[in-house]
Amino acid sequence: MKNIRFILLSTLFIAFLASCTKSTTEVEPEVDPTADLLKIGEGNFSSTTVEIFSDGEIEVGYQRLFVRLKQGGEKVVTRARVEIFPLMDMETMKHSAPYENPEAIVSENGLFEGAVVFIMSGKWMVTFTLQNLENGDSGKVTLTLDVAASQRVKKVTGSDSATYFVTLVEPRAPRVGMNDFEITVHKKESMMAYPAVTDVETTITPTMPSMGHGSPNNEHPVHQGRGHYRGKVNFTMSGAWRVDLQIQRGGQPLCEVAFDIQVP
Amino acid sequence: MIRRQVRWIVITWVILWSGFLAPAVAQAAATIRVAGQVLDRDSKTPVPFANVRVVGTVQGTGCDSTGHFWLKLAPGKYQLEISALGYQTAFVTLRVGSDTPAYVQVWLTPQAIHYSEEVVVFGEMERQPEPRLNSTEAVMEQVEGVTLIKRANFAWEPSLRGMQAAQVGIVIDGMKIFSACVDRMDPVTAYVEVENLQQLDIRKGGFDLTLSPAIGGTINLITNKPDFEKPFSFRTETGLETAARLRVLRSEINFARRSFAVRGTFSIKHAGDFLAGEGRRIAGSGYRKYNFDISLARRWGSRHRLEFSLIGDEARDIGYPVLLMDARKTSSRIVRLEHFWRFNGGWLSSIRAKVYANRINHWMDDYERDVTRRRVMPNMYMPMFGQTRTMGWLEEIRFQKGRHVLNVILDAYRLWAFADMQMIGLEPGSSPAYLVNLGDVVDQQMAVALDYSWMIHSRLWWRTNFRVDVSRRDVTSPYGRQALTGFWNRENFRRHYATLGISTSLEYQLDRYRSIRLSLASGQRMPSHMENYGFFLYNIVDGYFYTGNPDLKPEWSRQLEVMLAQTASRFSYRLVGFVNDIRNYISGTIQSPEFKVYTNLSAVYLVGGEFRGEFTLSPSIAASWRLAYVYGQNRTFEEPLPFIPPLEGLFTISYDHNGLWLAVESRFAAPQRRIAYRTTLEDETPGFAIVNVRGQYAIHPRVTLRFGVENVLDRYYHEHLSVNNFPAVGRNVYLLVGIRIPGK
Ligand SMILES: [Cu+2]
Ligand SMILES: [Cu+2]
Repeated sequence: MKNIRFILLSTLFIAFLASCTKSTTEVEPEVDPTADLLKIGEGNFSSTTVEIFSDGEIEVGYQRLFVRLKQGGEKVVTRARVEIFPLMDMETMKHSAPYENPEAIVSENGLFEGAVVFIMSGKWMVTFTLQNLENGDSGKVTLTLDVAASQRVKKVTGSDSATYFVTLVEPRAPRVGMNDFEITVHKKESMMAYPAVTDVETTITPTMPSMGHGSPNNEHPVHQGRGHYRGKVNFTMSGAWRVDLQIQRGGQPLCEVAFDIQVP
Repeated sequence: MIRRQVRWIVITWVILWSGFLAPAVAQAAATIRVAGQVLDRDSKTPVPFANVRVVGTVQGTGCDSTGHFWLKLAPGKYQLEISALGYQTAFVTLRVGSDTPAYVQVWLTPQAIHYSEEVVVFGEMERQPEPRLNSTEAVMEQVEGVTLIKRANFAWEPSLRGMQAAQVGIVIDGMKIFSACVDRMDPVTAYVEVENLQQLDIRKGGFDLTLSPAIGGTINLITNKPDFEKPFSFRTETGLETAARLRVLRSEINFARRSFAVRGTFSIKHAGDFLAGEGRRIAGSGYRKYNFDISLARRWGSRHRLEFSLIGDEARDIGYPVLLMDARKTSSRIVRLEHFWRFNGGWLSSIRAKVYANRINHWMDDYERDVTRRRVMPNMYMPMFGQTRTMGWLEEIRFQKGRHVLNVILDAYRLWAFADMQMIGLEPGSSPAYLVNLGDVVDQQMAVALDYSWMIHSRLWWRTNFRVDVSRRDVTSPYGRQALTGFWNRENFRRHYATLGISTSLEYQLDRYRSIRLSLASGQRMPSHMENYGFFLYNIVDGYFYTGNPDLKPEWSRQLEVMLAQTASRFSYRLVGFVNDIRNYISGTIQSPEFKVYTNLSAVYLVGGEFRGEFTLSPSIAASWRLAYVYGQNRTFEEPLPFIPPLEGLFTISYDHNGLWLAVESRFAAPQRRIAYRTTLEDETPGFAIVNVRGQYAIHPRVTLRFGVENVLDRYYHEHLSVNNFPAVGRNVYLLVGIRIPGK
C-alpha cells in the first residue's frame, strides 16, 4: 500500500515536470513564393511569359505588385528589369499615380516587387515595361485593373498650396497591441508626376473617438526611404480608432490627415 | 475631537504600561495551583509535551515528558484546551475552587477522529468555538497586526504588518484560491462565513513557509468539519443589524452515524445602504450574500479518514460607492477531497493528502452610476468579468521521532485566470470597445517545503522551515499577448521562476512564566499573475492604469522577529518586534501619462511591533489589550510606504458568568501622517476611537441571545486602509437569536 502510494506520488511529480518540458519539432516545408499572392494578370513577349501578382484584392491605397517572368513558360527568370506605369483615363483627362519600380534586377525567387498607390477607385491601366536580362528580350504588358474604393489614401492641400497624397501602408491587418505604422507621402507635381516626399517630419496621435482616450508608447513615423515613413501605433483595445497624423516640414505644419482604423 | 482621541491613546498607553510593570504584583494575588496529566485514550499512556491553554486568554503551559502540567489560576470556571501533535484537541471545563488545589486528567483521542490543524509556533490561532462575533472580518480585526482594507461594506481584505495583496497568502484549509476581480473586490476571506470558521490561523511574517511562500504572512481559514461525535445537532441563528438594516440567517446541521458524518451550513445576508457615523446614509452600499458548505466524512477506525467538502458562495448587487463600479454577481465553488492517514508506531506518523479545485466568477458594472460625470472614461458603461480556476494537490507527510518532528509538504497547483472589459458608449452610434485584462493567464506552481522542529530540551525549542517554489507561467490567449505587445516589445511572455525560502526560530523558556523567541527568515515572493500579466488595471487610489511586467524579479525579504511572552494566571502578555527588509519591492512606476507598470524598486523596509496583554481581574472579569504599529519606508524614493496602518489598538473588558457574557471594547487608531506621495497618492487620515459593547446570554439551554452596539458614540470616521476614504459604519445595534438542538 505504501509502495503504491509512493509510485503514485512520483508519477504525479514526473507528470508535472514532464508537462513543463514539452518539445516540438517542426519541419520547414518548401514554400512556393506566390502561395500567398493573388494572380491578377498575365501576358507574354518573345519567348518570355509574364505573371503579375498582388498581395490582396486591388483597392485604393498602397498596392504591392509582383512580376514573375518565365523563360519558355518553364524556367523562372531571376535577372530582369521591370518598370511600372499606372494610368487612369477619365475621358476628360488622364492622370497617373505614385508608383515604385522594383529596385532589384536580381531576384532569387523570381519575384520582382514594385508598388502603385492607387489614388482613386475605378479602372486603371498599369503598364509593365519588361526586360529579360537573361536573354536580352524586352516587351510590354498592360493590365486593366478594377480598383475598389477604400479610405487608405488621403488627398490634402499643404500649407505650401501643393497637393499631397498620404497613404496608409501599415497596419493592413490591425490588431490589438503594438502595430507597425507606415505611411507614404507623395506630392502631385503634375498629372503624370507624383514624386515621393522624403523631407517631412510626422507625428501620430491615436485616439478612440467614442471613448475619448488615446494610448501610450506610440512611435512617430520616421522616413525610411522612397517616401515611406515607419513608426509604431499601440491599439490598447478593440474598437474604432482614429490616428491623427501631423506632417511638418522644417518645423512648420504642412498638413494634417486622419485615418480611421477598426481594430478587431 | 482630535484632542479627545489623543487623550484616549494616552490613557490606554498609561494603562498598558502600568499593566506591564505590575505583573509581579498581579501574580502575588490569590491563585490556586491546578495540576494535571494528559493521557492517550487508546494506549492509556502519558502524552508528552502537550499544549495546555486557557481558552479566552493567552495563559497556558506545556506538559513535560510524563504528560504532567500545572497552572496557577484564580478561582473561577475555565475552559482548558489541550492539544498535542497527533491527537484530537480536547476542551475540558474546569472549576477552580477558592482553596482546594485542582487535579485534572485529560484523555486525548488519536487525531484521525477529529483533527484540528497542528499547533503553530510561528503564528497564532484565533479560535471561535462559540461564535461571539458576527463575521469572519470581525474575527480578523481582533488580531493585532491585522488591518482590514475596506472597499465597501463587504468582504474586507486583510493586510498583515503593512503587507498586502500577493505579499499575504490567504488559503482555505491550505488550498490556494485566487481572486477573480481585477479591482480586488473579492478577497478569499469572503468565502468562509463565520459559521464555517473553525480556526483562524494567522502566521505573521515570512517565518512559517508551510502553506505559502508569502513574505507578509499567511492566513489559513480552517473550516469546520463534520463531527463524528454528534449523531444529530442543529444550530440556527437569525437577527438584525441596524446600520445597514442587515438581516442574517445562518444554520448548521450535523449528522453522524458510526463511521459516517455529514455537516451542512447555509447562510443568507441581506444588507441595505448603511449608515456611517452621525447618521449619514451611504447610498449604493447594500448587498446580498448566500453561502453554503456541505461536507461528508467517512472514517475507518482511527487510522483513515476521507473527507469531501463543497463550499459555495453567491453574492448579488454589492455596492462599492467609492469605486467606479459595483459587483453585480459573484459566484464561487470550492471543492476539496482529503484523505488523512495516521500511522501507529514508527517514525512516519501521518499523511494528509488533498486534491482540490475551485472556480470564482465575478461580474461588475457601472450601470447604476451616472457615468456622464465620471472623470476617468466618462460617457460609457464598462461591464467587466473576471474568472479564476485553480486546481491543486497538497500533501503533508509528518515524521516524528522522539522530540523531532518533520513535516514534508508537497504543494502543486495550476491557476487559470481571465478578465475582460467592455466599453459601451452612451451616445447613439458610438462604437463599443473591448479589452482583455488577463488573457488566459496560466500559472503552474510546485513547491516542496520542509518544516522541522526539535525540542532540544524542555526549555529550548528549535524550528526551521525550508521551501522551494517553482513556477511556469504564460499568457495563453493570442489576443492577451498581442495587447501586452503595446507595452512590452516581445512575442514570448512565458516566464519561469524559482524561489527559495528559509527560516529558523529558537524559543527559550526563561522561567516558569516567560519565554523568549528569536526568529530569522529569508524568503522570496514571486510576482502575482496580475503583476506579471495584468493589462489596463485601473487603480482608484492614484488614478493610473497599471500594466503587468513580465520581467519582474521576485521580492526578496529578510526578516527578524523577537518575541517576549509571559503566561501567568493573572497577567499574560506577548510582545513582538520585527524588522522586514525587502529588496526588489514591487510597485507601480509611471510609464507614460495615465499608465504605470509594475517595477522592482530597489529597497524598502518595515519595522514594527505588536503587543497583546491579558489580565484576569477576577474569575469572571478579564481585560485585554492589543496594540500594533508598523513603520514602513521606501528607501529608493525616500518616502513612507503606502497603505501602512497607523498605531492601532483594541482594549476589551469582558465579564463572563452564569451564561452571561458582556464585553466593552474600544478600538482606536492614531492619525496616519506618513503617506506616500511619489509611488501613489495617499492622503493623511485622522485618528479615531470608537466604543463597542457586545453581549451574549443563554436564556435557555437551547436559546442564546447575542446583542451589541458597535460604534456606540456614532463617530463618523474612516480608516487609513479604507480605499478612497470609505467611511466606517456608524452606530450599529445588533440582536441575534440562536437556537441549538440538542441544548447545552
Ligand atoms: Cu481620377
Ligand atoms: Cu470587481
